[in-house]
Amino acid sequence: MAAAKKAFVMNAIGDAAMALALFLLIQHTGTLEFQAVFSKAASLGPNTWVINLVAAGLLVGAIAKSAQIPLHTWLPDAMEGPTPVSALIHAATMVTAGVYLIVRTHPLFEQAPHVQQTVAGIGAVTLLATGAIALVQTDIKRVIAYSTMSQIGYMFLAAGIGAYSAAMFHLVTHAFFKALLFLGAGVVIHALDGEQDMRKMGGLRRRMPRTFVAMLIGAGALAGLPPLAGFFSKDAILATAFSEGVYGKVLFSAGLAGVLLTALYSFRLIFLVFSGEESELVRECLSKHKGGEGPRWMTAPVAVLALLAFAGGWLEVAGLWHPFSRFLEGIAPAAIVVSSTPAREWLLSGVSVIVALGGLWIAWMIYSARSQPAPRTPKALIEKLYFDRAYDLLFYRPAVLLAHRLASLFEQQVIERSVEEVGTGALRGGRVAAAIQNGLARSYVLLVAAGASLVLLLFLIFR
Amino acid sequence: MIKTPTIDWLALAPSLALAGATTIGLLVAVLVPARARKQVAWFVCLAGYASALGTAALLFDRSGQARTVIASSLFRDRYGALAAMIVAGAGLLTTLVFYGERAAPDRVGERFALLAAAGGGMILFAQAASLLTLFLGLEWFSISLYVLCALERERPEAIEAGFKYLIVGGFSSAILVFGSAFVYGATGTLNLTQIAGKVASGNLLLVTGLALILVGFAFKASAAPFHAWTPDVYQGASTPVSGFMAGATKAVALLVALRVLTVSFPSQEHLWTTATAVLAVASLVVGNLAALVQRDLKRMLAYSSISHAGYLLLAVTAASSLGGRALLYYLIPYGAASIGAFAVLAARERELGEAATLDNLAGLGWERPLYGIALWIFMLSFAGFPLTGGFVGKVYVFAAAQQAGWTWLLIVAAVATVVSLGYYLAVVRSIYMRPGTEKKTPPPRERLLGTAVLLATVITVGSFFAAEPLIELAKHAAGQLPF
Amino acid sequence: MLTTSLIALPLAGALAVFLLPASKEWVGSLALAVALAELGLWITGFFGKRQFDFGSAKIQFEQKHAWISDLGISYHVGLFTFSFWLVGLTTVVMAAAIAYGLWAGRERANAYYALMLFLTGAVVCVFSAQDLILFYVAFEAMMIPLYLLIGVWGGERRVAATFKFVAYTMAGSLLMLVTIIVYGLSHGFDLTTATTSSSVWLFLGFAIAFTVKAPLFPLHGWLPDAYREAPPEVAAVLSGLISKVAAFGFLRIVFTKFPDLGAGTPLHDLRALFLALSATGLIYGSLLAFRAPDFRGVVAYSSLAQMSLIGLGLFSGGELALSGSVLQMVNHGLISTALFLLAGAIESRTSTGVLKRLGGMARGRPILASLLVAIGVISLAVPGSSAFAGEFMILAGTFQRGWGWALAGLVAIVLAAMYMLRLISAVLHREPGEAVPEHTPDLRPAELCIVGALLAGMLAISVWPAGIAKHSFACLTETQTVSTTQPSTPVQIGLECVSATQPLFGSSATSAGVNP
Repeated sequence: MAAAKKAFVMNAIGDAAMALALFLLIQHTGTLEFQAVFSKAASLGPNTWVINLVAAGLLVGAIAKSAQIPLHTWLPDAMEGPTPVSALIHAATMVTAGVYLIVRTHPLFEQAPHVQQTVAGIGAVTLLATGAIALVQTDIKRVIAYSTMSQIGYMFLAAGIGAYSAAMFHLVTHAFFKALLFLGAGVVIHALDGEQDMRKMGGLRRRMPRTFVAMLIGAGALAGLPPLAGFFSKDAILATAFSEGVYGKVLFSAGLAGVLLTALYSFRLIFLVFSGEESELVRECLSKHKGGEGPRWMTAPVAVLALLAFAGGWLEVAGLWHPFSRFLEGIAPAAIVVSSTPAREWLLSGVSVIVALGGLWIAWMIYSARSQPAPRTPKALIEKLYFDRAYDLLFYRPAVLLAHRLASLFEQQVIERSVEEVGTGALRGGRVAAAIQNGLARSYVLLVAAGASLVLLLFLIFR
Repeated sequence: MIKTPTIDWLALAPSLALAGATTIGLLVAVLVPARARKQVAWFVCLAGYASALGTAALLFDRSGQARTVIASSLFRDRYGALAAMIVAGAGLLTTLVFYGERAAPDRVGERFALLAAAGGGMILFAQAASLLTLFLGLEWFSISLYVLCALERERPEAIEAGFKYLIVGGFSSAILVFGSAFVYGATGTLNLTQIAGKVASGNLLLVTGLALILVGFAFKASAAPFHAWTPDVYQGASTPVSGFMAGATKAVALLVALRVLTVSFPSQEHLWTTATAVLAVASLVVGNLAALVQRDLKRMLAYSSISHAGYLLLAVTAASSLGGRALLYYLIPYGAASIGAFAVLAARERELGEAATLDNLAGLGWERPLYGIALWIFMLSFAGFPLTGGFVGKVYVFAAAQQAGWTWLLIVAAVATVVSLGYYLAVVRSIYMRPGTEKKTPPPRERLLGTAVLLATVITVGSFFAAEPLIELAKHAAGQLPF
Repeated sequence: MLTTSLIALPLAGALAVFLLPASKEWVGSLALAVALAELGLWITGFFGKRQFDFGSAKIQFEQKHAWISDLGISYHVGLFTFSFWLVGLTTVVMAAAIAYGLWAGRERANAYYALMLFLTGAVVCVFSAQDLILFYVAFEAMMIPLYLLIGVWGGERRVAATFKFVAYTMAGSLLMLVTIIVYGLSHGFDLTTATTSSSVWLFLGFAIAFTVKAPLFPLHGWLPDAYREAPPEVAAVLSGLISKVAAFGFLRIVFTKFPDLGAGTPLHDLRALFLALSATGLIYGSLLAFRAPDFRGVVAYSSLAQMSLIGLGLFSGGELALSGSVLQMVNHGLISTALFLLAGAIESRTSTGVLKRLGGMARGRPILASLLVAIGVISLAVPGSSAFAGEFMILAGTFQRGWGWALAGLVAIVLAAMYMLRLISAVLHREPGEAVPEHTPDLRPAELCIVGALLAGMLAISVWPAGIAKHSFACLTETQTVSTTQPSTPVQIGLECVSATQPLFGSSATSAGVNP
């Protein structure tokens, strides 16, 4: 439940920021219709504070929705409870809404170049950081969840450098292979009676060969190995980044490092789960379930997804055909489809494939062949780079403290006491007023005389 | 041959009816056998008040044109007639309540005669057109009330109340007479209408007289700082009498004060409005604050009546026709609620055999639903809550004060009203929100008292919804004051 | 006639219920029947020959009868479009509250249900009053049943709570009475004909009275105790309905009679003050809701926050914010009613509302869990919910008045998520609390029906928020503009404004804002 809370609060932050952007738009353009906003936004002029603020607001909304740094901590936590299917909906589909938002509203971002660069920067940072965290996760679903964030980082990176169709392309292929991975993981978890800890798995490839193949395709696509889906889309992003000046080169290198990380953690998952000796748990569970891979209604969608993850990338091949980009032309004009020469494109692809294979090799060395000892995992990664703790210290605790202080010092001392004080004050006055009645007729007469003298005096003065 | 003035019998009829009832009542107290004495005396009193009410209504109808009658000693006008109706109505209700009041067997007849006498005096007082008749009426009803208070001489509080009322009341009557003498000295007349315009407005004698007369009225209206007798007397007197004093005495004192001030002292308006404003503030402050700390309910209602003198003085301070209408209207639901509230307290006293306090009132609302709801409504009316005539009265009075430019007075009165909730709602809290003690025997049923409470409730609530007819009456009556 | 019938039906019902000599079940059933008839009567306003015209800016179902002619006071009732919605809210909330009372089996049934029905009539009268004194009468008449309902049927510390409540609100009310008299004598008591004023004092007199009643920060001293000690259904009425009366007062009296005509008019000069108070209250209430130790405390302070939000919308002015405020009034009315009734359901099972002692109620109690989650999620304004539409419109309108105010609203949205989720998880999740017996039953069908009906209402508004938002003010003044360069244009609500309405934003834009 804490996870759901976090998800809601982070999304609420995003909503709030986005609402701010929308308010600004209403104020300055008088409408929220996409086309009308875009046409009027142009008249606001580029890089004005209004447009920057609008773009920033939309960005924060997108960040929260897509679980990008720094509003990312809710997603992996949200993976703990639910079934793989809901995890899939949550982590593979819904979270990409942020990317869609940025792409859909790109005319606004283009008016705010600094914000757009920030989009790319956030994407790069996220893909590296979450990729690194994914490396040390032991929960199979969490690994996939972190990989989702990392892959959305690529999409942000793409959107931030204006490669909208590339971002959307990656979004689509990512949906294929991420769904495949989630459902495959689901099959595994189902077979192992709900166990999600990868350290307790191993050697499943013999028992679950079809699932193994499907997961292998998924991991390969994720790592960007040709000719699987992920290769084409990731390639388009990296190529565009490379052609974007100095900042683009930085982003490109981050993306390339990300490729290494991706290959590492995805094949770490494969090797931990499927290769090696069968673990005790695997033996115990699979001897119980004779079938191994579960009923057909579970495996059939996995098979379909495996096919899509395998071939989905052929929708668009750099330099050859671009049906996808053309499809998107309406909303995301292919400003920069590919500006580089096919030769450089091929070279860059080669580099990224080599890096990916390198990652695969390292993963094989450590987790399958076990020829290298697993490196000691840095504490920072286990603590997920301290984001949770920082939020706790910076926001949550001060808010709680403030609430308590307000309650004890202001609400009770001022607001509530004031009512009581007025009441006791009136009572005190009442006692004084009632004290006039001392029961003695002579003092009553005296009072009448005094009152009469007072009225008389008043009249004589004012007559 | 002494030249006798023509007697306007209709103008005299209401007070004569009560004077007659007094006479017959006293005879009944002696002549009728002991077992029927109470019933007969009660009936005579009731009949006296009923005929007073009837004749007053007739007088109201037949007095479209205001004039003075019987050697200019009485006003024959709708203002006086309406005042007589209020007094007679209050007396009628009180008589109903008074029937069941415990009394020593040798005095069961006299008290009804005295009650009728007090009413007769008040009506004469209200109609008085000369300072002499005015004083006559005042003493007539005052002495009746002194005796009525002290009649239950077995109870020391009753003696104390009567004694204090007599001493302090005598003192203030003396002040009133003294003031009248000054006025006569200044103007050479006792006739109210002729006092006006006789001498310069700043005349020392006249102003002194005015001040002293005003004090006399303020005393009868129990306005602070001339209020000190009120709590002791209300607490000591038998409960229905307290209700009558709150409902009727205060009414005539203020009505007559307004008439005397406007008829006789129009050119001193700046003086007496200032004085009534000061008295109003003093009454509002003292009455409302002191009531907060009372546990004994009769004492609390006494302070409440002091504070209502404050509200009513607002209408006097306005010194306008609207103020007159407000005053007349206000007195109707106020009188009904006062008598009704004291009646409920009387019922509780008779049931418990001890004075009603906030503590022993607990649970009344659930044990005796009619009394509970009625007391609740009376308290709401006192506090000026809507759906009771008290609300319309407050709005009316406030509006009159505001129209005359007394905005600050209005604010003081509003603040005082907030304070007053502290004790009015304490009563409601006591009767509904605190568990009552278990009673073994069902409380005695008193049909007459119940009828009176029901009537008072109907008037209190009815005067809210049917405000317009009452306002019509008030319009006719106040229209005859010289504004 | 409909208006008068809407007022008279519950009052007559109150009398009948009070006098009916029957068991509490029968008495309660009769009361519920009257309340449902009242709801049905309101619904007839949508149909038939004398249908309510939502496109009209004029007062409808009007009736006038002289009352205190001496002061020009009359019984004058009628409905504007926005009042029509608030009357509808009244009938729904009161029916739910009475049904809950019936289910909970309130003792002293005759008095209890009579007071509830009386309250219904009084609230309807407030929303339809077109005379200042009549408004005040109904405004105060509400206090009479409330005082007893809390004081007699309330919790342990009810007596102190009622006293605080009454003293506080009556102080505000009497201030208003003075203001009404001062105002009415110079400008007229009839709201439809009274002239406008630019007196700061009169403005403050009304504004402070409504601030107390709502309540808005910092005049909310009565709120926590009253909401805690009242029986749950009365707390529901207090926060769902009575608070709206104050908002209505701002709309009907303060803004129409003290229009902003530039510098020197109170609304112009003091707008920032009230916006600041609302913004402060919004954050303050949210923070206090976050640390409140009990269920009702959370809902109570969240109610403070929500009323502040509505206040923010009202004082921002403009079509968007005002329409959003009306929508949000209806939303919050339904939401807080449902939440208080759920609080009551939980308290009746565990005999405590302290969050520390609750927990784990979701397991085995799916109906309770799903209703609480659904209503909680709507209340924290999840996009797509009715509350989202309302909050969005309010804050979008507020933003045009000044971005800082809207910023406070946005911070509060985040805080709302925090406190509402804290509440949900404290009740439903974690380990079962010590006060939760093992076999605590789920919601009974009766409770489900009551709260479920309220939820259905929320969902209906969620689907079509524009139904209320676009039909609240048939016509605001055409001079109202969006631009901040002209923030001080008069807002005439529904009155004397007959010419065709000119929508501020393209129709598509508003629907985009409401239904993203």
